[in-house]
Amino acid sequence: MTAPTDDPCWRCGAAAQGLALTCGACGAPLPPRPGLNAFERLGLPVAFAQPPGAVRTARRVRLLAVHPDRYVKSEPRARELSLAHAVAINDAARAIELPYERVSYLMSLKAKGAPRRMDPDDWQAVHELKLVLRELDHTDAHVERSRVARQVAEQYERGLNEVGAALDAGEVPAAELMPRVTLLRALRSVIEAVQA
Amino acid sequence: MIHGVELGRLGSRAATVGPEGPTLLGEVLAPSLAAALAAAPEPGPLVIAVPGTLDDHHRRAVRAEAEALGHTVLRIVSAPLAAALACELPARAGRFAVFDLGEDAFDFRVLAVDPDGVVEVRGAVAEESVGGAAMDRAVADILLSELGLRAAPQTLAAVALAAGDARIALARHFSVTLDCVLPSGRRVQSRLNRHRFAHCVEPLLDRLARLCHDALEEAVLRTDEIDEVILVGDGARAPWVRAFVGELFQRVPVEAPLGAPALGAAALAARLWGGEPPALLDGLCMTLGLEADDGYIEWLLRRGAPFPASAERFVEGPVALTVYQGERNTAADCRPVGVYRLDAGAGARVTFRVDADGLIDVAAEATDGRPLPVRCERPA
Repeated sequence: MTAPTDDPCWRCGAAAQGLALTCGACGAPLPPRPGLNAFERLGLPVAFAQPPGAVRTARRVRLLAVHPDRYVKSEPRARELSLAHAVAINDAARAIELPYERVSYLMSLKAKGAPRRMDPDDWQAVHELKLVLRELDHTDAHVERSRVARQVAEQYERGLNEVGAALDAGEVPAAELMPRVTLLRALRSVIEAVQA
Repeated sequence: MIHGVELGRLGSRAATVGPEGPTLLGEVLAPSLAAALAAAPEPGPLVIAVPGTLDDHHRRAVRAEAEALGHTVLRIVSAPLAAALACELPARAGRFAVFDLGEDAFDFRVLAVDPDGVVEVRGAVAEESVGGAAMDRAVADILLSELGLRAAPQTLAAVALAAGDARIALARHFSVTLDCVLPSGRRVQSRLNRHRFAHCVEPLLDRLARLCHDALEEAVLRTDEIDEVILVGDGARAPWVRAFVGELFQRVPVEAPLGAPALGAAALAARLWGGEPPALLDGLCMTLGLEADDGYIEWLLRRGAPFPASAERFVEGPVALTVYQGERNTAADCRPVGVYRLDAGAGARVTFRVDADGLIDVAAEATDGRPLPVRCERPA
């Protein structure tokens, strides 16, 4: 976790209050702490595995504590700080709420700068998959198309959970997982194309 | 005095909070804040309910107008959410759908209300040009084609106007006569009943069904998991719309009280001014994106994203960034809401922020941390 700063409350001068969002003495929103990652911003462990609804609940609790609606009658600084908190909290939740976004975000933390590449065999497989789906689009083979789409979705889900578990286990350097993450991205674009 | 106002594109309503709660002050058949609030005895804290599709420029103009009238604008809120407050959803935990069909826009929200009384948007969708006026045009188009008349714009407008009158009358009667004098002087009369009107607008109803399913999918809910469907807006009062919604959700929809968004806005104003805890967690009803070099849209914040929120992009050199709202992939199919010009030099991080009122602020910071000026223009 990022160390809290020692700045006192800007409104009442109360002593530093750790990672609190608002001042315990006067209730003013404190400046959002810089440098926190999305997990830290929401008070969650930096991990792919999160209990169901954990991100949503963490977002909700924090957002309600500093929501701009609480400060409509306050001075401009309090309104601006509450807005800054609300933006930071919602942005953090958006970055990690869905599994694929969470994997991507963890990769950006743990494998920053790693080149995005895909194994040639995977690339070929995705390319062939796209050709099959395009072919099925031109015929009226709805059942076959649905079967292929379901298989892709299953492969995507499985891959996502495996990569997430590998990231959490930390036994493989995150950068080495990049080809699998790139494959997931490709599969996701196939799924989105099928849904469209 | 604490007030709420509903600002539609064709009419406006104002409400005030008295000892017995919010009551309607009046209605004007014009999209005018000043006219709607003319009945207000004195300026005061105000919440403004607007269509979810209302763009940044108009939201700013509405806020400025209210402030010029001496009101303190506490919040700009989307009409379906304000209506949810008027229906006292915070007092009822459950899953709700608000089906707001106005004269020229459709706004649908899937709401989750937890036992703490907070109304949270789980799915949202809005589209212009699918409201009551579009239904009138669809009916006019079919009538003119049946009569073998060319649908010139003025002719179509005249028949659509008459179809609008017929639509309102059909809410009370099963069958009415559409009577209209065309610009050419020819008189057109046609018998319309509810079934025929519903048949004419079937493609539009199909579109509405598709939009509702999109929002439900976003909320990860099925139609049978919705506890109550609330109808809002003049367009939703038509019997065929009620029947359509009933069939879609397999339950009888509930009509929100007349002027629900204005009443809800007044209730929200009272809550905010009284220092009560937040009651609404809103989500974007339309995607915001930037036009890329190839004319495609690069998404900034997707529909349904909770706001306040922000998105960042890195740009170089002098740029004009056009922000669009809409769900299509190409800029030509979306609506521009603002053009932001800046000279990013060797590079700058641009932050697009949507605040709690749905207003877009754009700020730029050079790589050395220096803030850069950004000029905002209204799109042509």
